[in-house]
Amino acid sequence: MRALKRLLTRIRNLAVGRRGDDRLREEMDQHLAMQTEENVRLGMAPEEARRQAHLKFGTVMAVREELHAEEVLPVLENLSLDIRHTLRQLKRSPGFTATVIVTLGLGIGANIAVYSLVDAVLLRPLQFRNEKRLVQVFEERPALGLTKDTPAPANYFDWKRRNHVFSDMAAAKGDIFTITGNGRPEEVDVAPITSNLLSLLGVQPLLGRSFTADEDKPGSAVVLISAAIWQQRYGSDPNIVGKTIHLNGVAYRILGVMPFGFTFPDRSALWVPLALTTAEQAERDSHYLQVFGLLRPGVTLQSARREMTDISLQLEHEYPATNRGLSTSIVPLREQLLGGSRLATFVLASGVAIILLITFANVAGLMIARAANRQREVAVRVALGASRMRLLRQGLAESLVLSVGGSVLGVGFALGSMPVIRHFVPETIAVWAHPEMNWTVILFSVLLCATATLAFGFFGHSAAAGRPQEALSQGRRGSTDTRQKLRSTLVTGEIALTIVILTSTGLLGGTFWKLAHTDLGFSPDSILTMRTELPVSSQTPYREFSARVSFYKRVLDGVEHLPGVKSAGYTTFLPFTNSGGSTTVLIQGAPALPIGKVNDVGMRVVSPNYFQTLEIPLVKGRTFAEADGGDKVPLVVINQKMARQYWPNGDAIGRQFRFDDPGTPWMTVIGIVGNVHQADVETPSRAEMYLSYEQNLGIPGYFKPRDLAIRVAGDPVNYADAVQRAIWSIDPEEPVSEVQSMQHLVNTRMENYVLEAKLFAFFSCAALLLSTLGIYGLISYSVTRRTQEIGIRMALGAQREQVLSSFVAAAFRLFLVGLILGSVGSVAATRLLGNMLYGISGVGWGVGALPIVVLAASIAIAAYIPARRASAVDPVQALRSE
Amino acid sequence: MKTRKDVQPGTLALMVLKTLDVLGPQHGYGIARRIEQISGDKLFVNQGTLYPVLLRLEQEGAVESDWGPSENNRRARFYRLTRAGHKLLDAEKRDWEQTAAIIARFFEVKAEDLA
Repeated sequence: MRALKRLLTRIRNLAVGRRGDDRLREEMDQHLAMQTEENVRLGMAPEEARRQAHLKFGTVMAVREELHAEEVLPVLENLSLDIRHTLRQLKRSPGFTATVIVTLGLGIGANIAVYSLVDAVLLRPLQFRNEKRLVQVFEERPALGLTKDTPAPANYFDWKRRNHVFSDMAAAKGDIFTITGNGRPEEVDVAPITSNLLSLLGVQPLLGRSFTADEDKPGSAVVLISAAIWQQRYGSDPNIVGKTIHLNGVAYRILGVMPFGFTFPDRSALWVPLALTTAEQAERDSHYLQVFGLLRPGVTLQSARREMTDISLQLEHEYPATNRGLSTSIVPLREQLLGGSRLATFVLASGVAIILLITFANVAGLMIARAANRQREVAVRVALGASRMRLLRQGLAESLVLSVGGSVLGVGFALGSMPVIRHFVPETIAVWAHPEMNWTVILFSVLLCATATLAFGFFGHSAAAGRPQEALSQGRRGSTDTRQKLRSTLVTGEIALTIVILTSTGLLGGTFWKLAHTDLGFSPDSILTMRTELPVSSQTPYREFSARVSFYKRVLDGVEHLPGVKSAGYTTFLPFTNSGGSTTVLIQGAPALPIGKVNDVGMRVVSPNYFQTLEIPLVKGRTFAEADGGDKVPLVVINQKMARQYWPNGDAIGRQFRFDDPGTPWMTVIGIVGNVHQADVETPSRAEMYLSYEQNLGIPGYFKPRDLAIRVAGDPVNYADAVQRAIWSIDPEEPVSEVQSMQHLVNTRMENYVLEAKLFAFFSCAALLLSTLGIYGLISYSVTRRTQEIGIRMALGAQREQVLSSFVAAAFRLFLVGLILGSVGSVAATRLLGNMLYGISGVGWGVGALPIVVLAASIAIAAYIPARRASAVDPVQALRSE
Repeated sequence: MKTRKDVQPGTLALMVLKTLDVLGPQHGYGIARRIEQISGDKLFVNQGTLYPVLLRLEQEGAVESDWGPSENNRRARFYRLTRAGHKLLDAEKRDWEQTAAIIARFFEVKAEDLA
């Protein structure tokens, strides 16, 4: 309490600049006068009386100093002195100062920028209130190679009834509706959902209300619309609730509007009740639901998984025909939505750690090198009576000034990079993910760097202040080896570290780059795509197969005659739009399959020009011709994977297989085409067959062609209007949707890899820049410090070229040692990263070579420039140099 | 040979407080004289060191000071004990007596007492 009161008084004194000095002086004068009078009274001569009084009092100055120290806080007062001293010192070595500040600035800036991206994309909560407890539940059928499959309705209802781990379970499926009437027909993604899904997620409609359980029944025509549709089609009409919207020609009552950015699941724009019929609810062999669960509070993922496994085993036992080999998997919804987020988080976190590590290494190197060079100066000051505390304080003041400078610069860099960083956000989540500067992150980065700087500054100074005798007895600078050794070790260490780091980031970046540049099996450039979904309900002529074929033919004919169009083709689903669409087949002449095992083959129904439009290469045989239509022998084109899987002897052409349904006709293989990545880049192609759109084989409507691909000359987007007009001239009611270039379609699926590859490019560049800066700083600083030595050698008759090359060669020796150590480290690091690298092994040297060249060049320049400057000066001057 | 002792740290403040307690308000010179008188020649105090002690006591609220006329009509700064100062003196006195008593016991103890 007393101490606190004193402290406050002293801080106040310091702040207002109040000094008791005048009062004290007067008091002391009076004191001395009284003592002198007393002495005179005791019989001393006045002169002697004053002298005695002073003797008794002690040194006035010392008392005043002591008093001053009592009155204010010397620590704070000295700090401002120390900072002024530091600023003068730093001004004398601008190279050092600039290097440290820029290094810190880049480190802090990169850290803040990347972290704000990670925060926005990966860490920031989803838009769901119950996010942490939300999971998605999948079916797993390892025997069929099906992972994370959409569950069958009956399984969902059994899970929901039997489990004790979820507060609730909800389901949704995907559908496509056409909005008709009130403007252009528009085809949108629709999510039929159970009435509890929105409350399970914790999402409320922006306007109106959600469905009731009563409305989740067949025949109820109610709908929730997205905020985007509300804005675009209804001009944000505040009285929208209760109005009517026509979907697929049926009037639906609008119950509400969902919040902005809410498109769950996938890119839904409308939500209707799932409304399964009793028959549908009992289905176990159609798997099309997306199932979500809300974990009960306190229930872990593990215990939920255990319980679901138990339930799966029960169901397997009760329904062996449909549920044999069927298990479940549970994935946190966040992980499911953000896709491989754990890998990405790890990767980004290590990237940030790497940047910080290099920053620290640089700053440590520079601070220690500086301290080593100032050892003599410090020793002289210690010898002249400077207190060690004072010297340490000055060291700390220097660190403080540098970290403040670096922090300011770093925050500036981060601010400047925000627009660039925003480009990294994948389009699919751009609605809600907004990277922005986060004060916690800024504070964290700044504190971290400041702590490091202070620590290294303290370490450097305390080492220097510790042994003044030793430092002084070493005599003039330049003649000792110890500091030189320290610097060399630092440079070598940093080179090694940099090489390890660059190879690692290079490999990881290369992985993503490779994924982003995987051979897709087709070339996506110069292709315009769109979807023309033909209605198959009983009211339209398109329920007839021939009417559909006639529509496709007229569209293809009309489109192919447009100027600039090279070819056009129809398919069930374009690559990257739908991973599903497979069927089971029986191979002619093959032995019967064991029970529970089937030949599952991907299936697409296409027009003849589809292959040439996508440039899917023909490997053997032929593709379809116009003459293949009608009721001739069913023909089929298969991909290489299927050919290899079922006819490993290479004699697939001419062989036959049929659907695994009694009475279906045998189909003859006429050609083999290249494999195509249908689902995404990471998923390998599977066995796949293509059927002709002209052959009516009684295939379910799901497989009917709907996606149109058009290869054009020039930018595909320019053809969008002409193509749509051509389609509407054939059927003005036909909705055309998802008009986009194939490249765009691919990009939206690849954006995560591209993002990660770009991030790694960014990390590698930042790492290389920082390391180059650090190594340059260290070498050039140490060469500059040897100006005197250069002077001596020049004075003794050394040639300038000799001096120069000896310095550059010395620097290169350090580089070589660092390179060897770094290579060893890189091999170790590559092993560690092993399981994160998807099938890349050949990248190593290509990726490793560039940074090595850049490092070598920067080292050569770092040694050459200061050495040349030093050797250019008059030797006499160099000898005198400090 | 006459020995003169340096003041032990902290004790000067106690002396100042006790002096003010006994004599009432005093100026610095008066306090210095009093300490000198009581301790005789046995204590070596630079009179100047009194002032930082006075300042600290004032900052702690143990003493107050004001200008006033001295006995021979000089302007002098008079210090007097506050209530907090009285309390502080009592506490310090107890402390000191306790410490002195403990030390005294150590000096009285003999080897056989510890056996």
